[in-house]
Amino acid sequence: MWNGPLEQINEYTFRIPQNYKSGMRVEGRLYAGERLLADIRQDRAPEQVANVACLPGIVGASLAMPDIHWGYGFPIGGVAATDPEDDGVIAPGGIGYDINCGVRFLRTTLMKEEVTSSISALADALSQMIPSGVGSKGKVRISGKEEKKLLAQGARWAVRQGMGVEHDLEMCEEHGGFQDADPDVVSERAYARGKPQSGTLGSGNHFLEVQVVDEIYDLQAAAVMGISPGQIGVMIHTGSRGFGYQVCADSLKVMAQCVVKYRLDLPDRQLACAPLNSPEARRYLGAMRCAANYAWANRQVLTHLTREGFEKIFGQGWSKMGMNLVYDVAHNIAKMETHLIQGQKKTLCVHRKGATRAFGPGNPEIPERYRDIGQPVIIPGDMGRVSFLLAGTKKAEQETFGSTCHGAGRLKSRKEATRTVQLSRLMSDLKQKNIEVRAAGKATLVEEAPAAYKDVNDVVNVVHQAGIARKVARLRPLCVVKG
Amino acid sequence: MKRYEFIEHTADLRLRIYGRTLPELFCHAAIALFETLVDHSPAGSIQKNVSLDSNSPENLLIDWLNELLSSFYAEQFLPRDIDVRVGPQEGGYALTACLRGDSYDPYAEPLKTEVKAATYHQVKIEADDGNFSAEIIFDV
Repeated sequence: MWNGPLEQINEYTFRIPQNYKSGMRVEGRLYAGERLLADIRQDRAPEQVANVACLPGIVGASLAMPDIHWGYGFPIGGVAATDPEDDGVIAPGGIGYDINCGVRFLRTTLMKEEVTSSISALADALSQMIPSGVGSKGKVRISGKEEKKLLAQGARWAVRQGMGVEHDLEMCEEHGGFQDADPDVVSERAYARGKPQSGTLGSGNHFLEVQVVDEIYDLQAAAVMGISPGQIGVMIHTGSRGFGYQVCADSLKVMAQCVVKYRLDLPDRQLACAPLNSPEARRYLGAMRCAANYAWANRQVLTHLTREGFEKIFGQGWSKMGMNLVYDVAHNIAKMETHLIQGQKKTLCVHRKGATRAFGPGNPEIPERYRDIGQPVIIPGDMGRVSFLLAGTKKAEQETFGSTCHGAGRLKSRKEATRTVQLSRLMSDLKQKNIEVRAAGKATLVEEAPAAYKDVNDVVNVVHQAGIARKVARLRPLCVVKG
Repeated sequence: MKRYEFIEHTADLRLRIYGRTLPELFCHAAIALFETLVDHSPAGSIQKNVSLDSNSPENLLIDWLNELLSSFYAEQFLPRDIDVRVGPQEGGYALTACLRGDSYDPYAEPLKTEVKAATYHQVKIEADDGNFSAEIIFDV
């Protein structure tokens, strides 16, 4: 329970004043509706918003999206931009262990009626072809030399191996790979942890879903994305696996020393950081970008396996089924971006920990195809409800460094979910909704039950009403593959 | 005496670890970590030594757990007997440990929960009447 001050700025924005606790350099700003606010006060996430406001060089406000929940260091759903010219820092905890955890959405030209009779077979095929579950091992076998290439190139590495096409890269943030990744600063242990897991989904909240477009809110944007009602698509949610976890753990050890070296006064050890212009920060950025590239390559390999699964079941080539990538977003990442601050262009380090970039129309960073409608934003919900496609807005660029929510946000702890959710009941509920589920572990299924999450509809309605993204389409799951 | 217990946390695993001494606290934290990861009692045929230092006992505790986690995932080493010494040294705290255990392939053999890392979030070691306790969060 958190009883600190939340001052209402307007219907969907609340402020934690800068004087709430000493050390805050900016105010905290939360996006929420009345219903979500009650949930948000249930845990210590707002305190973490205030802690992030203490980071050296933070600009504007410590921001929280409506799906925020208690993390460690940063809240999950937190955004912070720091200015390198004002001793701004990079905090690995503001990116998290699962570096470049993200989501992509593939559309198809198949309609629901065409797949209904095959959905069970499709679920079986996908769950067999996609390595998933705790500690799962990938089918991609690569040498050390090849892994370095993967880290330097990201999704392009997979495309060069024949696992995708150039168009896939165009539809990713950063074209599916950071340019300045530095494989030479990555520890041997990160290599060792990364190697067996290329091309794996993982466990926890990661998933692959076959979905149907359920409702369209913005006809023009949906048409540009190639989306229409009744159409089938695939959503893939995963990240950098053990490789990213090790990069983060390695860097936090270094950053703990930086806190002493650079005399940084922080309210939480997990916020350990280093000035952006320091050698430690440059090293972390080089390694973090390798992990981000690992994640993009990972989602690309899974895309390839998904296409093969569809080809097997429907007996036609994937391009014939129109299985094009709509977009790929990163929701645990830090990027150097140019933003307008009080009329001046500034290059800032934007940390998004459980938040999605949502650049508006006309932004040169987004694919030309989407310049008129804004960047596609992909918001996964829970397995029993719905997911959304949104589009970024100018207002997000003005208010939130071009950021919006990333998902439903957890409501119940895994422990509480395990205690309150009955597996048999969950399975019959999903069956009643005609959702086919394939899970590597039953425990994960219970922990990830819809009841453990906030209603994604509430979250998306807040960002839509607040204008930091706008609704384009709603997607309903037909088949869920979980780790 | 309880070695550890789980307490509520929205997104991750939060534990309270107990020990009659600082080394015992470190040992129980390691046991908690491996009991979360696997349901398996390994043989003790492989020996491994660990030495670490840090500027505070809290940072050292988390570094220790992440060291064990990395060696589990990267070197596929699952410890059984954990003999750990912890104490102050100039400029901070130091740890030396002698581990006996076995190899375990986390990519082929079963894992209960995929712990990504031990986090430094709000970690604090408390001493009360000669007993030690610490609250830590595992990212899962």
